[in-house]
Amino acid sequence: MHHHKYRLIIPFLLPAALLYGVFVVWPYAQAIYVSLTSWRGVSANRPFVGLDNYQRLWEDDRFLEALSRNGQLLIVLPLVTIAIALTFAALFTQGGQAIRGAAFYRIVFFFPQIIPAVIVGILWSYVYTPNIGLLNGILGGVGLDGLKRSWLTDPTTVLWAIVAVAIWSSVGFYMVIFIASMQSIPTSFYEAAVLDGATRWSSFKDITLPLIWESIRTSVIYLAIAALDFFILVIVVSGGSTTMGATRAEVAALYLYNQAFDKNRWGYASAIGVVLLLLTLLLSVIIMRATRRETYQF
Amino acid sequence: MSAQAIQPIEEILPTTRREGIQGWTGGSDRAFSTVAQLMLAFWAFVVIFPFVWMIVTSVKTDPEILSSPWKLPAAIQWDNFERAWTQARIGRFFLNTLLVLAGSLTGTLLVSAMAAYVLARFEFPGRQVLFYAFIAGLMFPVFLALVPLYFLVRDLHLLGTYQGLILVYIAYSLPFTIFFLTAFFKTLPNELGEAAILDGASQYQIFFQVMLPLAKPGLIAMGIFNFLGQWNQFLLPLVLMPDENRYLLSQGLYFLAVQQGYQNDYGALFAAMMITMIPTLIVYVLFQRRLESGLTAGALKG
Amino acid sequence: MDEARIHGLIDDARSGCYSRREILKRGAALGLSAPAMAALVMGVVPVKALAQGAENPLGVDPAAPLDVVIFKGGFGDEYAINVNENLYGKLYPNAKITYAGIQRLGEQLQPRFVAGEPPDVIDNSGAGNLDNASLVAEGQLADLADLMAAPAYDTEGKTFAESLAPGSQDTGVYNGTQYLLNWALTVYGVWYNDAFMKERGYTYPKTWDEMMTLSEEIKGSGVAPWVTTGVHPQYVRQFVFDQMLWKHDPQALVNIDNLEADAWKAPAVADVLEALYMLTDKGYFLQGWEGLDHTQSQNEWLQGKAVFIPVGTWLENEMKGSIPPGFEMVVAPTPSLPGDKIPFEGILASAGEPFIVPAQGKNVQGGKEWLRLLFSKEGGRFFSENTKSLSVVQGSAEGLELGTAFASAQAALQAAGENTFIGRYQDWYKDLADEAKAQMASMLQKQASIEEFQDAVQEMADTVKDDESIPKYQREL
Repeated sequence: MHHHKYRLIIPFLLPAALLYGVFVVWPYAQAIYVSLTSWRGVSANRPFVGLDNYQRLWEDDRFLEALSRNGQLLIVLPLVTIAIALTFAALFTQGGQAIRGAAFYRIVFFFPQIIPAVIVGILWSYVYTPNIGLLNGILGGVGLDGLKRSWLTDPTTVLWAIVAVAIWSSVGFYMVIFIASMQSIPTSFYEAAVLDGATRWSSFKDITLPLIWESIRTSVIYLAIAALDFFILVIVVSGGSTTMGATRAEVAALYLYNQAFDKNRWGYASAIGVVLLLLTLLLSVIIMRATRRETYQF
Repeated sequence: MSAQAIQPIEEILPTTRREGIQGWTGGSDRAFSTVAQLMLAFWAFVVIFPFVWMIVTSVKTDPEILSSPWKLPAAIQWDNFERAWTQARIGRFFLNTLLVLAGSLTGTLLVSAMAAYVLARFEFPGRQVLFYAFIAGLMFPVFLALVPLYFLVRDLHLLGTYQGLILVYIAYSLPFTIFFLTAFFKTLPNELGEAAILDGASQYQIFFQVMLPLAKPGLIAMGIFNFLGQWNQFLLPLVLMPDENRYLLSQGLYFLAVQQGYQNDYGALFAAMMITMIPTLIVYVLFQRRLESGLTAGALKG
Repeated sequence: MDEARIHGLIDDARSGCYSRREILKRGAALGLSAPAMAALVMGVVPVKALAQGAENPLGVDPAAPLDVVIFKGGFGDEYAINVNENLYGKLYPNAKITYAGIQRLGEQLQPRFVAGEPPDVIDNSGAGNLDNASLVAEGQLADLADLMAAPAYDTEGKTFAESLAPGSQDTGVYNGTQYLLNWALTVYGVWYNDAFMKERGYTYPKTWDEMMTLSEEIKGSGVAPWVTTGVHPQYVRQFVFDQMLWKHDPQALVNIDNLEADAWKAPAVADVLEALYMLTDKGYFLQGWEGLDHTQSQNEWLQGKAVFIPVGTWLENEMKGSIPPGFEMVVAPTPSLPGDKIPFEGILASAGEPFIVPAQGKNVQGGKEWLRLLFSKEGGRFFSENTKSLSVVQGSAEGLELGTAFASAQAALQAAGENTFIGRYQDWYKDLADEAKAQMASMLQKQASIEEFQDAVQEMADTVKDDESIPKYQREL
């Protein structure tokens, strides 16, 4: 069998390696080279500037500010999304007869996930708009006029208004993943816990959480990467990459985008991209380490 | 209730609970049920209401949208849909999207499955390096590659073609799909393959006739996952599909929204969003169980 | 009948290449009927055909394909399609025209520039366009000198340059070379509904004090005096702040353009900011203005929820589906501050909507010829009728009756005479304009004081000045 091995390995790997090498690795390798130039992106002229772009980045307050917004997202996005998704997943798997309409809710909760991000973004931009928007309308309708505001330009709310959209659309996805994990836990564990007089909360904490820890961990990494890459929703919800809302919710990837497409600083933008890439890799390793736990087998 | 909703999962999962557990201590079932129902109803409202509002808005006139956003329309404005269909050409974009996705999904699954199978089940030098090289692609921000990618695609004479976009979609779907399927193939029992070899089957036969069918749940999961991802894809077509006749849906809608800033036709914009959503909604409700069980399989093995 | 050949013949006739006899002979050779030829010689054929100066002065290859990309924004793109179909397409029927009317040109065109395959002529305007300064710096744009010197298409006896509004093409000159051609003559000011003003017995205030008094009265009647878009605060930054600053002290705005030391801390800047601050301090803006985008704010204004709104002359065309009957939109200059150096009539105006011809295009001369045809009386007239906006072609809007907005913009320009101006820093230094825009929003939302505005914007001006990678420009008053 061994001498036949490579007759399979090579043709099986080749298409993937070729496509990946040509369309993914090669463009990124070029991007890394571009980060060492002062390319304006409108001609083939790419003056080499060494590490200048990286040095400037280090002193660029606006970049650091954008990065600090990513830092906030990094905490809020995984925490809130996972908390909500876990709650619903637990209700659907352990709620038993107490949860009426579970099938309906599950269809509904997942629904935002299948809507193209562009529609989600456009829809929410009209939800948040001050005078004809849905949100202010509801607040006014229930007598909470004091809470009405211009959600997408108010510097205290804009970032979170957009993050809320991200959470809104992804809760369903993580909920389904957690449900699957929870369902693989044998029922007998809970039955034993019930006999021992456990409450819903204590069995969730002591049985469910540890047993689905791997799923949570994977989810945390996904959401962390999403928090670093965050920007398409900012553009679509706020109405454009250079609107006041986008400026006040400027995250690192958006800053990159504007430096490239709006300011024609492709070299600098590529340097931002490379830094983001390194941060993502670093962060993934840190989360992997930090969340390492004994894996429970059953 | 919940047991009925998740039945297909049994195909994959050996131990599925059929009923909720009863007899918890602490807190009455009634109080728990009320709180739970309230939370669920609240979230359902938050999800559904914007869509309902969108439906109503899509059949209103612009003055109605602007001056009385809360009222129902005096008369239903079907011509919003007509404008969206003819001027915004949503139908055309829909077809383009389906065309690209048909190619890219098949390609993604086939190419990834072959690579993942080899990575999971054969020892050879450089295997780990290759695996991690693929995984690293998960971390790359796509827009960083946009401009070099454009030149590449153009130099290959694939710019503005369905084939070009299909190949790029496949390439950018590989990292996660290979990552996932590798894990999946690792969990498949060895014995089957070995038995097949004893029967004189070639490695190719083993892959296509034994392993691929076994990996069906994983392939379905990845099919769904990639469908969602590629369906949502926005930046790649924006740059690689400059031909307006071949715009994909997300791209077409984005331009419609941008144009809205200049042409001031809210009704048609909402109608276009509706036209995009309704088929998606129908497909989703019909295939919801398969979709969930597919993702579920993904969650467990990944 | 081959229309291009007839056109060629007509052109020849106009340019005096041939005697009447020769024309008749050549016409007969083309198979023209006697009446047609008579019309030709007698000059009864349409004005557009007869008025041309010379046949193909730019040496266009009549069969070369032409690639046209237009920003389809507030002006739409029918005026460009008109050139394709009725001007260029008729003169050069063998030229295949590829056409696209799009938004956000940068994302779509930038790769084509890098690849050396740009379109032949581009209306490089709108949000997300290509940065013209970068294109110039990289040598990507064709020198338009031969076009400027060519005979105008249908303004007899004048060169192309002479047929355009004086000064309108100055901003398209970089270091002595004409690279950009500005198409639309835009007037920026404060708009109101004249019918409403008359009904209430109000007149547009000429001084800021009067504006404050009137605003108080309007507010008291339950209507918001002002609205502007908070999503795009560059509207108030440019149309109101720049305009008032220039009229208060023109040199102060020039100093800002020239990145002079402490230009943003000048007393004139503070005077204008204090005036603007009153709008927010006294609650004269429509509630929620800070979250409205441009069309939303304009819709609120059209519905009579606010009286004054700063916009440019594209307003009417942009909102054409939503204008209530009886609404009479007119534009006026910003009110005067005490000690203004420019009279009230002075108004912010510029030629905008810049067109470019990429140097690496396949059909550079064709691109220029397309522009020569667009920037004609016929092209300008079509544009004005279609969009109710002014083009830079002199005399192209004569005699057009296009409603109150168009008339008021024309009248405002007339009244301003020499006193028109435009700040340049938003074209030259995007970072600076961005900071001013963001700080303007903060100040008008009371999140920044006037001093904080000045400090922050000045700091950015200094950063831009010290950044050697940003090309610098200078202007004089």
